[in-house]
Amino acid sequence: MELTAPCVILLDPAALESELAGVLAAAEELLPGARVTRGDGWAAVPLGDGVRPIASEPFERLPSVRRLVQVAVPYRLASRELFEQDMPVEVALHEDGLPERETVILGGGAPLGVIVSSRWASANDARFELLAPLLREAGCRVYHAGQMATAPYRDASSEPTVEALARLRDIAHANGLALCVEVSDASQIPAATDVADLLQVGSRNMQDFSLLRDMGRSRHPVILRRGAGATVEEFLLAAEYVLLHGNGKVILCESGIRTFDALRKPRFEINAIPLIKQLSHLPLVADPSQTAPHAGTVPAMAKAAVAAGADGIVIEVGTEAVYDPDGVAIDIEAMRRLMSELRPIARAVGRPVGMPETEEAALPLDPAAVLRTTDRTLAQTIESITGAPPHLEVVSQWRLSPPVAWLSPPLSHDGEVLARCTSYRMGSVRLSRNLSYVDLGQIDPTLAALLEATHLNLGQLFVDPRIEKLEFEFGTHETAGEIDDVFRQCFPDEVAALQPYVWRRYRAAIGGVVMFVVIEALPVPVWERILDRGTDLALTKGSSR
Amino acid sequence: MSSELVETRVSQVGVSVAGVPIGRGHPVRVIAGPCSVEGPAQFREAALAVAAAGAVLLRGGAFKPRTSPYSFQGLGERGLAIMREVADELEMGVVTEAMSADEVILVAGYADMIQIGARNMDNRALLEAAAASGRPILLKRGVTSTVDEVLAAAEFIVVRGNDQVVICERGSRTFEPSTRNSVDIAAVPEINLRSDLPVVVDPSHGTGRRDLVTPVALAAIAAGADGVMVEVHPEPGAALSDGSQSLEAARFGGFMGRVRGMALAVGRSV
Repeated sequence: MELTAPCVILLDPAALESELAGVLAAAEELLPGARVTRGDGWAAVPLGDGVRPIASEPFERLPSVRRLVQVAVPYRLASRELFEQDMPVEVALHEDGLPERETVILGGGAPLGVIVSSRWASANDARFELLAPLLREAGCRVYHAGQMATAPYRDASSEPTVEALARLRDIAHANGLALCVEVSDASQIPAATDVADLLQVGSRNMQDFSLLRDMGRSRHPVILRRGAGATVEEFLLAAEYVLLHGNGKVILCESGIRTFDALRKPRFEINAIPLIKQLSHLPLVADPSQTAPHAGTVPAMAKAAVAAGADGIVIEVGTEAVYDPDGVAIDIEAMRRLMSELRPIARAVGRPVGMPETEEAALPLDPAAVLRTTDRTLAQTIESITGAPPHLEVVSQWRLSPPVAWLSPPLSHDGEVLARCTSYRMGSVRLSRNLSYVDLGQIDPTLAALLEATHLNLGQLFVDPRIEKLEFEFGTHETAGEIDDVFRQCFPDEVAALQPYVWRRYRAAIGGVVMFVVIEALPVPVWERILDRGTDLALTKGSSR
Repeated sequence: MSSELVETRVSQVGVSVAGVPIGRGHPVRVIAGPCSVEGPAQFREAALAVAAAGAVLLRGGAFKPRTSPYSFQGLGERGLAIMREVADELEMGVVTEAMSADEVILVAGYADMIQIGARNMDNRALLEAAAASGRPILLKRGVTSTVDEVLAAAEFIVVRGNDQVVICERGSRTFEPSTRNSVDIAAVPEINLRSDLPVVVDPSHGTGRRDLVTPVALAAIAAGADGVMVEVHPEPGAALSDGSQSLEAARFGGFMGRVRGMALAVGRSV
């Protein structure tokens, strides 16, 4: 077959350079200077100039060639036409003389990539020692140490030396963070690759083509920031320079464009986020900090970026104005708050936040899986599935003393227990039957009184970040034992409708002291209908909190 | 202009359109409908689709500020009557644009909320007439206006005794050729911090592309917008205006599902 559009040969990424010599020799005839670009999980060679037609068969017969892809847009290797799915970039945490210890993945459907910079912490190792574990805990995986370049009229001491960078790198690695540094001149690349795990090309250098070529020859991942006057196509073509020269590990960073509003920072271009995600398979992060009118708007802009589909965000963290001349740094508390607010937003767009193993991005498929979504309360899970919060009905409550033995281990031996039988409803449909046993010896008396007066429910107590959920147990109505007896007492008219059901039991504790035990049961037929029909129930029945 | 001049003095109970409160503490409101009212059948079909999916206010244009004088200019009063009839049938409020001060009384006779278009943000006579109508006002930020300037324009209405003003971020002109405008998402938290007036975002004009409307609408909600205004047409390919940025009416339910999910994620309902 004759191909007329520009092409890319997709290669077997496991092929060795020596095995690819034949491909390169053939490609060289059609595009001088052909070389293999290696990304994570892919390898490719652009082919042809888009003018002369290419006979595809000779290439397709070469060993290690997977297929030829015609690409209609000028940025061939960056294009979504090459890969339909998002491709990841792996950042290895390098250290002199040590094998790679850990890998951070950006893009490719990985958890939200959180990159933090802090002039405040970069200026002083002791501060960074304090900050780094907090950043890691908040979900940050990359620390941006600033730029190696020295800008005129700027305090050169605010830009870390190679020695200082090495110390920052050691602290970052000890906390599982990758280190990034900005390079503005090719002469800095060797020193930068020695200390940093990834390199950045700043927006002012986006079209410094010789720097881009040299970045392409590096094996380090490169964050490329969009120039303030660059169109999306120019931005992707700049990325193509790095890719074409061999480095497939490019991460795009939307960092604002200049508009008529010269008094403000470059405009954070939200439209560009879904647009670039549509055009390219490369990871895309967004920097709300450098584009924020002031620090107060940073969290909202970060949330917007994630909602619009960004693979990551870049946030400036700091506390002292002297290190924050633009007034855009947020403190670590605000950063932590932002991360907890980003979590549901990321979920709403189908992206996990933080560590992948603690995340469940997909919708549960059956009632038992609903119960196994243990990082949310049942009410939150219902809300995420049906699109509306359920209504909590308190069916009955009573005090018990001594507490029920089968709760093993039982709640306090000498105190009273408040037992509650409740139900989550959507309209007239009962979605769950819940039992809870609250240890009145452990819980604050005011909270207990509010609970008993039904001014408060246990779901609201879960907002307290100190509460831990422990010892989840799961079962079906056949294994429910005493639980089934209590349900039959609480819902005497509904025994038939109750079965079959699945249940879970867990304990909620603060500092190891169990405050209450919760048992939740979902009637299987009702839940199969909900999971089958998605949000219909919420739309037709209405609901109230 | 000094920014002290435009620190808004407004601190009020909120804006309410046809009994629907808009603003902080209220659900995210979706205002939807076709760019232009082209006839009773087209408007009714779009309105039924958006009402069924849960939008609370209808939009539609009867007086159209078109770039070219040869483009469809709108049905005028006939368009207003069509909107009113359908809105009454569905028990919804309707938002539509008045382009000049002399049109305001006519438009106010049919509409629950008067839109001041981006091209007219600085039309003082129009702002004054709209303020005097007593109707709630949807004030669109001009394509080359700053946040200070749109707050000043809102203040112009408020000081004339009408505090029922909603600011609409609908994007500005930039050099980027692949989108019609660029939504200034930072304006949403900035206006939220500086003013009590509700802010809505129009991702249809803000992007000019149907494929970008949903993600930018979600971004607006995540950034704290009190609502989104989107163009919906039964057959976008045949629309007399803005077809390329209109969502297809048949798919509007899917858009609302995404909006609902994002509203929940930021602790609001729809």
